[in-house]
Amino acid sequence: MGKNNFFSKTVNKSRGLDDKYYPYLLETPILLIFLVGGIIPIVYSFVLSLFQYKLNLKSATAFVGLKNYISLFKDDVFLNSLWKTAYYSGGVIVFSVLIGLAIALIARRNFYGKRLFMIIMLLPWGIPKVVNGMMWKWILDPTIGVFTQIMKALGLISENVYWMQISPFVSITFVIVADTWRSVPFVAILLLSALQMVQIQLYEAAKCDGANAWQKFRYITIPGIRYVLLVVIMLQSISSLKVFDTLYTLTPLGGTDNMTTLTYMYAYKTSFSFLNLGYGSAVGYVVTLITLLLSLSYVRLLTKSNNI
Amino acid sequence: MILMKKKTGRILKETVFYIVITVTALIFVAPIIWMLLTSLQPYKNLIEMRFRLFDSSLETYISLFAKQAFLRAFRASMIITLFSSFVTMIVSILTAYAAAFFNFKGKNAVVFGTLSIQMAPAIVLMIPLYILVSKVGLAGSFTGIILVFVLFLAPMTTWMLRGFFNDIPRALFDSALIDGCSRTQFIFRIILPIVRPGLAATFIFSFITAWNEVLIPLILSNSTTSTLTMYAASFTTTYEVDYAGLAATGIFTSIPSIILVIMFNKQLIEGLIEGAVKG
Repeated sequence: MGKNNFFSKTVNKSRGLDDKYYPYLLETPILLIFLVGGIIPIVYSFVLSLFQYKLNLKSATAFVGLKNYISLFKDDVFLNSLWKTAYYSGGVIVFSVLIGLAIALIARRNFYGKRLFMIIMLLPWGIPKVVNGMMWKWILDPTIGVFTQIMKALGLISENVYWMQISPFVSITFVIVADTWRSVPFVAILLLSALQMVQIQLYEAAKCDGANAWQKFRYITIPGIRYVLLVVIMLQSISSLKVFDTLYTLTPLGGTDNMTTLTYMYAYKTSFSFLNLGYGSAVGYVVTLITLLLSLSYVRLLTKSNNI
Repeated sequence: MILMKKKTGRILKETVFYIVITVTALIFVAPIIWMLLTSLQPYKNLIEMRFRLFDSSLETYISLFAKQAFLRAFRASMIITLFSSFVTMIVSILTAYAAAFFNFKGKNAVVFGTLSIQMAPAIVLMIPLYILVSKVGLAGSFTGIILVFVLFLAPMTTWMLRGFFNDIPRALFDSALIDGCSRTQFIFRIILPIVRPGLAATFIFSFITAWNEVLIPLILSNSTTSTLTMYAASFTTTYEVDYAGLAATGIFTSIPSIILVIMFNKQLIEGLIEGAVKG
């Protein structure tokens, strides 16, 4: 440092700011955001979840302790919503990762029109989730929907079917299909980029050693893309817990008889349809806890797999 | 003979490959094209369940543009998306710059702390934010909505930009400072020109996310500030669904994102990878 002392001193003067504080100055906006958008709301919403706080009955605001949480365990809509969320998340993760990986494996080589293919694959990702829900609502329309028409043409059904009113299982399956359609390209693109970083020499070496296709996939491809694969699964599972837009348009407000009321939707519904912010916060807090547990276990998994 | 056999085998393999690729692409593009074609059909064709490519017209779009509610929603979406993306960019440039070029206490805490906002379920943050925004007197206003948008966008864009900034060699920073460039000048004179593709990707990312968002405006907006996504969603909550209007609104709402995806697909892919994987 000795030789540069002269320079760094003059530079310092022209900056007119102490070295130590400069980065903090840059960080001020994000720290404000962290405070106002993160810490305050998280604490505030926990406090809210301990209150009976209804917007339509202002006088009734009262501290109730853990009562909201206790009521959750007697609330059938909530308990069912947990199972439904598990089914939905599992479905979206499994399908989007498997299909995305398959597409990435197919598209990893060079071919004519690869650029166009990539653009087409990105399109569903650009479609707003709200519009995606609308689109599928219309594909599944009992009279004019394309799906209904196809089923009729195949002779599988003879009259109009209200697809979204059969059972929660069927409805949620359709939501899984809709969201898988939109998220597969995202998964495929990330995995494709990972595949392209796997060294080709490894495959050639394996070929010399007489490895078959499955062995190459199992011992070269999978370890090579493992990190990205884990990240993708993590992103998909965290975002699938927060499914809202597609549900909101495909089956407005949880559908008939709360069929598609997943936990996240239930938090919205109790808070902003029933205006019960205290209870809604409690529901939301359960989602937060699940997300937190998931994130932590993934972080552990990632750091572990990085060490190997 | 053997060579010929090998050649036909290869051609067959290639054909199968291109069929698979085409079918895959079709599955992902067909619903969008179908929606586009439907939006061009006159209303009466849809009711009578006839589909005639020849009848295509811009009728539905023209009637859409005659609606006050639609125009208001379009304007609101534009204002909210542009302003929030712009503010987000400024905040995340500053943050990413500090994170990439300076060592300071609590750096990791800041990076991971802000990232945890993105992980947290938005609804949990939105309930208190709704109360806060109302108490400050910004309920339903553009300012309130834009500020909340920035809260949700900034962590993601910062994370993305940090990846791009980390690729800039540290030596460049040191030598620029020795040459008398101030630390603030370094952002504008050197970093921003170098990472222009990264900036574009990040801005587009933030634009698409903001444009597509529905939960925040649903909770915070009033009739003047309700967005295009909300307007689109309103088609599905009515009992008799107007599918021509739905398709046209759907297509129109998707247009900005689709254009950006087509124009900047390369940068977007890079940005996705930078944001999601590299970190």
